[in-house]
Amino acid sequence: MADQAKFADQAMVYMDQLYSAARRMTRNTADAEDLVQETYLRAYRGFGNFKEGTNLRAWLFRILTNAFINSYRSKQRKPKSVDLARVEDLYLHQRLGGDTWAALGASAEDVLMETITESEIVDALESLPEEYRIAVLLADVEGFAYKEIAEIMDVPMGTVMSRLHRGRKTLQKRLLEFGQSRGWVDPPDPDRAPAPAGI
Amino acid sequence: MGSDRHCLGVPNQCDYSRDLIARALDGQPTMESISRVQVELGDCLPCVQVLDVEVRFKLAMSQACRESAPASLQIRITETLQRVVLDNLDIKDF
Repeated sequence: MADQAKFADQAMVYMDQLYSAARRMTRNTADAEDLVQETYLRAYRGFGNFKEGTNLRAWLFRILTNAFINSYRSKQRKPKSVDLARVEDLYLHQRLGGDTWAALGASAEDVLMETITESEIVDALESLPEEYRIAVLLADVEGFAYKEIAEIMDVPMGTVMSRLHRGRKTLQKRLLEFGQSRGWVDPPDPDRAPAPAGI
Repeated sequence: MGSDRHCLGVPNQCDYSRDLIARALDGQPTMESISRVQVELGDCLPCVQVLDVEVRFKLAMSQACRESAPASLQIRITETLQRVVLDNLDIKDF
């Protein structure tokens, strides 16, 4: 059992990470600040139940995610539901091959990676439906392991893997479309798509 | 490819390579952990190419989406916690 008096010493070092995640979840600074504050208050009150020696960072992220999903999100204007048109679009993308970036070829991929700005990557992440956005955020920005993400989001591991796979592919597709719209890269050539080995 | 019995050479349709690539991306990959998976993917170039894209993408995400909390928020939360601590103290503590 953790000592509440030690809470600030142990937990405040994670504020930047929690704030970054809150920014991507809420998509604005004022709401992100409120969410982080609520997270710290909930964590302080529950710190007596935290088992010392276990993963405090993951525990704080679980509180943040729960606060966003269970109470905070309802205050936001954006609807919770996944945009089905986007998902349909994604399934189409998967049927057409899915690994569109890989079909670009190494040099076009280099151009795209070097030309896309950080704010464009952030915009693409924030445009994802919530379930996918949180999974990608926890895995690729915060570097949590799949098992930890399953615990933080309170979903089975298979659900995490599925959301991550779809989320990553959707993001890559959006960034690719962005690059194409700017003329940085040509549309993928189907002839260059990965062919089965041995063919 | 790591094994002809498993890898179909089509990353999205091959459980073997998909699992390996997912393993390479789990948590915070290191050069060593990525190299190990590259070795297991062997000479399946489409799979190695997909792994390369995914690793670069993960790195780009990690670099682009981080930001520091404003100093005013840190002060606000520190003060709030101090207030909560004081509110929780019983009068007999004094």
